[in-house]
Amino acid sequence: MDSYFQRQIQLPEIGTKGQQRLLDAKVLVVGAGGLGCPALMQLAACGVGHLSVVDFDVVELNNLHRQWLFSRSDLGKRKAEIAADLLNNQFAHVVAKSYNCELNGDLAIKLIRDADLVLDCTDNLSARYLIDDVCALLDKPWVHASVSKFNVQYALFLPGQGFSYRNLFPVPPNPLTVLGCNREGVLGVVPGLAGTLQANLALQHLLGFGGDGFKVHHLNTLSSEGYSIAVSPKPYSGPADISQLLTYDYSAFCNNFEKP
Amino acid sequence: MVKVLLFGQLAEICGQRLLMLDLPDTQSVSARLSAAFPGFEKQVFAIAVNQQLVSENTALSAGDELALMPPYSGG
Repeated sequence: MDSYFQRQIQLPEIGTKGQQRLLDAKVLVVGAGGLGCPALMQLAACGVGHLSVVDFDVVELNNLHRQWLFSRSDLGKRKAEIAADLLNNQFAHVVAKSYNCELNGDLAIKLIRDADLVLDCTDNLSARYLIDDVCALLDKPWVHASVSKFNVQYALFLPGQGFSYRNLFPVPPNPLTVLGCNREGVLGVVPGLAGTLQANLALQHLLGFGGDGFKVHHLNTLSSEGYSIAVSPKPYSGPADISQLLTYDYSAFCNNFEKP
Repeated sequence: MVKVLLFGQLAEICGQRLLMLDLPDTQSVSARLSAAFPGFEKQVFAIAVNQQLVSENTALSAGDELALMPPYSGG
């Protein structure tokens, strides 16, 4: 190993062993938008060697203020492909693959089975519950982050150990009450922070340190106040096995307005 | 009195991030806020008492801190 990662290796918590762990790690990033751009950049720069990027979307002009892996010359092009190309070109130690499509059950199972850890960088709840469920059934860790205006929510979920997104939100919200960036707007730096916090949790988990139990974190970027909620492990409540998962209608689950 | 911290959309609906209420349990806090603030009853949120997630109705004592945290979806 040359001096590229010297400043990281200097940390006794990392060393050459930890750095090698990152270089060997396989991380799946679902979504190459406001969260995915900073998360991918941080993971790649810190030395995660294998990155898979999933996104069905193309670059739009109103993405660029926060999705800075892309530029005006990329307008109309596929985000996953551009992101992966950029990471492959910029980082000699990275092998990045792109999947220019929506994450469905089959693809999620294939990609998550092959990954050490997953980042949900999407802005939709169907994908989030799908990732949570597949990670529960395959016993993989995943890192969540999402924003609402100036607020960030983030957590490392270990659904195989009883800490899943379903523990926190067993019933998804009415989609009309959860606005997201497209409808409520967002200051570019906020998803930038969120994706970076996500990468931070991912790197620490891969390195085997950080964290103190099952917690979901909140950051108010206006007041710089943090808040954490501890979650007791609970039996997983999603689809019982892969075949059930493949017939589970996530879109209906997340779009049923008549919830109690 | 219990301290109620509201996050994200809930803070906007209630017009404040912090409320002091004198109520016996978590269910009555949700009911009070639903009655007082239009739109609140449609919200889904996680409830924590003293920074610990609770999933059942939970009795409250003076000085307890509640956090009501909705899911976010922006990225």
